[in-house]
Amino acid sequence: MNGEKLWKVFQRWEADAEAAAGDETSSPLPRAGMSRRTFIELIGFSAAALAFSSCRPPEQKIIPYLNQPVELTPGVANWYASTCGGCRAACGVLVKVRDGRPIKLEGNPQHPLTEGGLCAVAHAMVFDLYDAERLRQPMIGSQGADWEEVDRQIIETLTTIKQSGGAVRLLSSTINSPTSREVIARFLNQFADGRHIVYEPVSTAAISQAHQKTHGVAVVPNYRLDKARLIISFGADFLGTWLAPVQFTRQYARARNLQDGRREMLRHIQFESRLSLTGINADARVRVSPAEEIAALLLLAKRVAEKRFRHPPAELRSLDETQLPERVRDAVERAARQVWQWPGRSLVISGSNDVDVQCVVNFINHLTGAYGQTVDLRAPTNQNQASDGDMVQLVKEMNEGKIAALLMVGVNPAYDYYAREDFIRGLSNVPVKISFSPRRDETSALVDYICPHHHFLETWDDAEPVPGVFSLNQPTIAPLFQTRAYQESLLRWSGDERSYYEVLRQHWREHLFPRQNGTTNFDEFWDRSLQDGVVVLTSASASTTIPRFTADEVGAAVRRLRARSTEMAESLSVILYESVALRDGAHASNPWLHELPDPITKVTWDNYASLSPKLAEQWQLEEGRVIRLSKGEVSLELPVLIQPGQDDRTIAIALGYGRTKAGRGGSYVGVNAYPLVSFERGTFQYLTHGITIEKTPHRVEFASTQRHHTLDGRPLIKELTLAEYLAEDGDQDQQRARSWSIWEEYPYGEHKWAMVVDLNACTGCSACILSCQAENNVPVVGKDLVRERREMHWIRLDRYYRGEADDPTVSYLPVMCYQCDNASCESVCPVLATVHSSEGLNMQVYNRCVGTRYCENNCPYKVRRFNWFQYPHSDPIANLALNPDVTVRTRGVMEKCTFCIQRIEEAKIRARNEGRPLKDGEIQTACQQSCPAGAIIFGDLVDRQSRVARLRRDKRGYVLLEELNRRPNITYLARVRNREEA
Amino acid sequence: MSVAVEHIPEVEVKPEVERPVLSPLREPLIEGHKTYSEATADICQLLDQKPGRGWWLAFSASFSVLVAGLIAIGYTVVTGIGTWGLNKTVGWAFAITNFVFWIGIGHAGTFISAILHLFNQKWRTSINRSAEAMTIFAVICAGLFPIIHLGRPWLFYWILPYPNARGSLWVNFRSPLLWDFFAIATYFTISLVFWYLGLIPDLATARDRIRSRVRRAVYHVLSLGWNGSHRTWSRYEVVYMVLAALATPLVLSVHSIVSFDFAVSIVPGWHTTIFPPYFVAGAIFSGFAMVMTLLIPTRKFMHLESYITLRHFDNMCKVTLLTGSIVALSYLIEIYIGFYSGNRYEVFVIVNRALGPYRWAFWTMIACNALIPQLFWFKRVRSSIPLIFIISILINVGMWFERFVIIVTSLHRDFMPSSWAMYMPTMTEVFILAGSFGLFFTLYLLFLRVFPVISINEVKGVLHYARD
Repeated sequence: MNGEKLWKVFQRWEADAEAAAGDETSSPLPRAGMSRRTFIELIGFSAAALAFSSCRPPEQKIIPYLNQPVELTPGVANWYASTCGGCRAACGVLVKVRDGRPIKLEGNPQHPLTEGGLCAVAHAMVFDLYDAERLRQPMIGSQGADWEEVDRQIIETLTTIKQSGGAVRLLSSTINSPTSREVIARFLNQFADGRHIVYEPVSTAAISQAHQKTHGVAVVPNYRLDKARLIISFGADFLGTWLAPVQFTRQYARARNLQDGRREMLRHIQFESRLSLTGINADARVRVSPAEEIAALLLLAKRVAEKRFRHPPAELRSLDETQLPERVRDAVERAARQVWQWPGRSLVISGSNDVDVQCVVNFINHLTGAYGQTVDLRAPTNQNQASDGDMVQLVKEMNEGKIAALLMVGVNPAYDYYAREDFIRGLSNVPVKISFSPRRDETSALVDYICPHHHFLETWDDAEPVPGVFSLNQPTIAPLFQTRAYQESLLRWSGDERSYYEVLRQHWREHLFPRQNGTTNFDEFWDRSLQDGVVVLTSASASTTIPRFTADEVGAAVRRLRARSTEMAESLSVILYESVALRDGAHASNPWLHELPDPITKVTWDNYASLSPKLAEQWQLEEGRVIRLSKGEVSLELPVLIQPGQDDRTIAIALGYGRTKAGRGGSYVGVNAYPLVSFERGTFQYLTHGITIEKTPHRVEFASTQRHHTLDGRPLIKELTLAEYLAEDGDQDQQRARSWSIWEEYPYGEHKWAMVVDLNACTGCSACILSCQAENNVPVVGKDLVRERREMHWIRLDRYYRGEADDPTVSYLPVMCYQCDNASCESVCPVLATVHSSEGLNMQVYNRCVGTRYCENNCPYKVRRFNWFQYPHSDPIANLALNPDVTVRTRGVMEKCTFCIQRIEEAKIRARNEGRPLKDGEIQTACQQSCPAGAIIFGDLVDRQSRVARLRRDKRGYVLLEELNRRPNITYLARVRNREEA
Repeated sequence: MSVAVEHIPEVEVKPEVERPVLSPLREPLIEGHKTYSEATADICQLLDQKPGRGWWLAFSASFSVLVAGLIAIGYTVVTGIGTWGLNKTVGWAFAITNFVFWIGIGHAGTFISAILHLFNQKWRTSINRSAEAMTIFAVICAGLFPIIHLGRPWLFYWILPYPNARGSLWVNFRSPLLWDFFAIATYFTISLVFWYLGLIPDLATARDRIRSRVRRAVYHVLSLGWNGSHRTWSRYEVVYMVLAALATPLVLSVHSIVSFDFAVSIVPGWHTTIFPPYFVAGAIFSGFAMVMTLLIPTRKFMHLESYITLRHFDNMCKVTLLTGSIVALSYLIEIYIGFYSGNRYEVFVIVNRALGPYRWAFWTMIACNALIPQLFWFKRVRSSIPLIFIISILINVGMWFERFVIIVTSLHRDFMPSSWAMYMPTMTEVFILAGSFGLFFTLYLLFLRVFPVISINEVKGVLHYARD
């Protein structure tokens, strides 16, 4: 090692080689002789120098780009417009790519349906991309293989099938990509008997079947909430899970917006049995049993029909109205009167998957003139194309051994098909089984070949969620593993050697390009569409006339419903629903989603049998008591959750849990409730009867993030009715009464950041929580730590019940750090780890924090989160999802919301580089960006004209716990309920 | 009373000699008609004896618990504070409870040695040495907790205002935790110096008498060349008086400052101006209880009944009764002010303490601190050693619970009902608490072996009290 060193004085080195032993600093030696003392000194020093110079960290090379791509600046994110593949709603997204890694999804503001909104599931999809448990190569059986071998074997078998004329079925979830459908069709056309079957575990097939009956078109119409003035919903959770929640939330929030002096808002009446996210937001929520829900719908139909016809249909005329309790009857009467207040602007929807119910819904919508206004049949939605009957038929044929080959895309029937065993048995009768699943899940573990599909962030695709709205999906990272787009596999097996990208372009050139008239150059059209992510074209396929309504089937439907309502009246119903976080369970391997508290129950990492307080009392069940629900051969053990606001004759269970092959994080979380689904009257039914209940001796403790559910008289939530709101006048005085403070006020300079949260817009969808989690590298802590009240989310949605336990009013309060001017946390930190910035932020200096937790105690809003342990960041693939702009916190330090300070700084730097002042609205916090309701507004108070400054003066504005004089910088705008005045 | 010193001439007063006429108004402080030499011999011979089986038993028990506590601390430091039962709402619980408890315990020693000295209370002489030792050991135990309760305990020195190379980065003088550091550091320093100063004459005595050569050498060094001259004595007494005067305000300030940790905050149930006097009274109350808990077995097993008499216990019981009554009054005032404020959060804290999920802790506290000490009104109770022992232990339990109630019940339900949480300690925390007791008793037992348990020079000053 000496040879590597540079020597200043060579002679001296020679003279004193033994003593110096390798460090130039030891050169000034006395020439003549050496005292014993000096010798010892030098020996000691040299030994130390030797020891230190040899304990260098191992060498690591960093290599810069030799030829840096022009579009890539290290440290600056690139944004690509794309399409979310989290569910079938196909929302437009912008993908944030840092140094070649997609790290965050944001809503695409240009997308006409979602306008920048996004849901919780979409945010969690980044985690899925970097999931190390994804398959890394194709599989033959349970053995890894290479693509050539797989292709060779599959093509060989398919050729034999082609020759023998065997039945080939491609089973997929809803595919709203026109190009993919073309590829599938072309693949299936090779076979004498090739069919594409669309299966959705949570289906809305009844809507399309009902339209087949009443309008002659088997489609799910596009519901236009933005055009409605009155929504009467019968159990449809359109803000939470039904069809396209982001799109609906956007429209709903817009129609109810009271900001900037608007005085009108949409009215929403909800009849429902379980407490849904949508019901919570309703102006009037009517708690009904499932039987009453049907009876109420029929009564509404009767009232509407009475108004329109002198002689309403006989089945309706003879309806026994006394069946309904007066409370419900009264609500229906009032709803029926209001329908005519806004002719054609009302919308009746039902979340039921029963064709008869949907027929009656269509009947009402037809009579009120909703078709063509709030119900769009000309451009129906492609977001749920389930065909339940086809799926049941397929399983039957599989069991009969009639299917020669089955290919599966995006489905997992071995988990979520109602008769799971039937499917699995049938599958064993299929000679060739191919799955495109990216993981070894319940179904793909049973197949012959797994040809893993890309994550949607790695692949090309397009989508047409609603006719005329086309969006493109572009890869934002090279595939991490040896996966291949399923479309490309199908092309290969159809003998087409082109890449899917080429096919996609070809399709757009042939089918979409002619329909636009912006440009004559296809490349220009393509590039622009790719850049925007979305293109709206006049719908060629949609007919210009509304299909005619025929009432033929309605009478029979009413008759059957009357019978069913009477039959169900006294029996206990089990309602199976999708939870907001996990939805149908396809993403159950994602811990972010598991840890997202349910918006209503606030429980994480579990599903449960929720029932009303009264029923719990009657059966003497306490929260967490495990009960056994049995129906026929199906038996589930689930803990009881007491849910205020639920009907007394129902038990509600979330689907999507209880996966057995969903990886380390997602397997065996909760219980699979799909076996309780039934197939009746041509569709899957998510309501069942004839359940027996048994108490077990077991008890569990839920991992819930909120254990106290009422306000105890504390003025944390303000709500008023529309009439009250309109009666108040003028903006409130901006200068609130200020209490005297011992500390000097901070002088604020160029900026003072503040936020306004419009509680009237917030629906509680919880997208902000996951957006924040992705943006700020918030760790997932797991069920046990949530149970110990140690979840780490920086933003939380407090949910409070008010009023009676049976039928409460529910309110949300999104809570993040308020960045108080007079912060309790700042004064108590002994080491100055939390300090006030010149722009009004309470900054947390992680590397200064020693972890006294005094700030946590002293924060009246309890927004601080402590790193109790070193949360693992050891998975090198998962770490790719981390946002490099935000520090990963070590154990023992406090953390909290920073108003996304990294985004503020980024925007400031950008503005400075461009030599201009910051624009209002240029900085969007992560929670704000993804909020589909636009409930969060962030900005600068120094700019008196900024949106946030204006909204802070809104008369609905209030701050939390004002009497404490913390001067928080988040102002809430009170919720307004559009109640009908008595 | 066994006297095992052979070279002392046989001039002691024989028992057959009639008791000297006692003053009818006063009783002697030291019983058994001790002479000066007997007093010296009695106390010094304890240092020469080999420890008995009782001592070994007690020592091995406390040391084992201490080791268990050290293991729990090691586990916490290696794994993280997550090994405790704390959560997003309750950021402090066991550790800070223990901290305040131990700091409080310490107060009796300083009270006895400094304040009673200044007030010329002669009865303090038999107990001040051990009480001061107790103070020092209690402060050591207390000082442990603020360090190990940190998220990153290895960086605890960042709380100290020391010159550093981090530019303008300094400590936050607004934070009560910083004041805590100053208060405790001062307190520990003064207590240690005061104790040591008081020990010097006795160490010199031990140096002159002890047979073990090694220990004699140690005492030789520790006694700082004490020669017993008049000048030495005179200077000694002046310094002792000055230190007593310095230590006196600390009795009031230290626990006042500790109470600021709570009083300065915004948490309902903490944000209370009554805390400083309430904490000081509570500290002396618990400290005296601990002194009695320690002295009863010490006196018994070391045969010091002549020196530590029932009269001492009677006096200590009276102090306990007084401070206990102040504490009880503080409870009442706290409750009254809570309701009187009309503030919904304050009212809630009071109701939640008494009727909420931690009501068992609250009522334990009320019973042990406010009710049981009232038994000391009765002379019969004050003169029954077993009863005093039991009551003193109950007071210690009650005072520990007082701090638990203040800390946990205030935090676990404050302003935002959504964040309300429960706290339950983990085994790690229980072991750390037990370990602190282990440390305390280990140190105390060692003290009994190596230093004169009773201040020989001061006891001699009161030997003839009420005798002549």
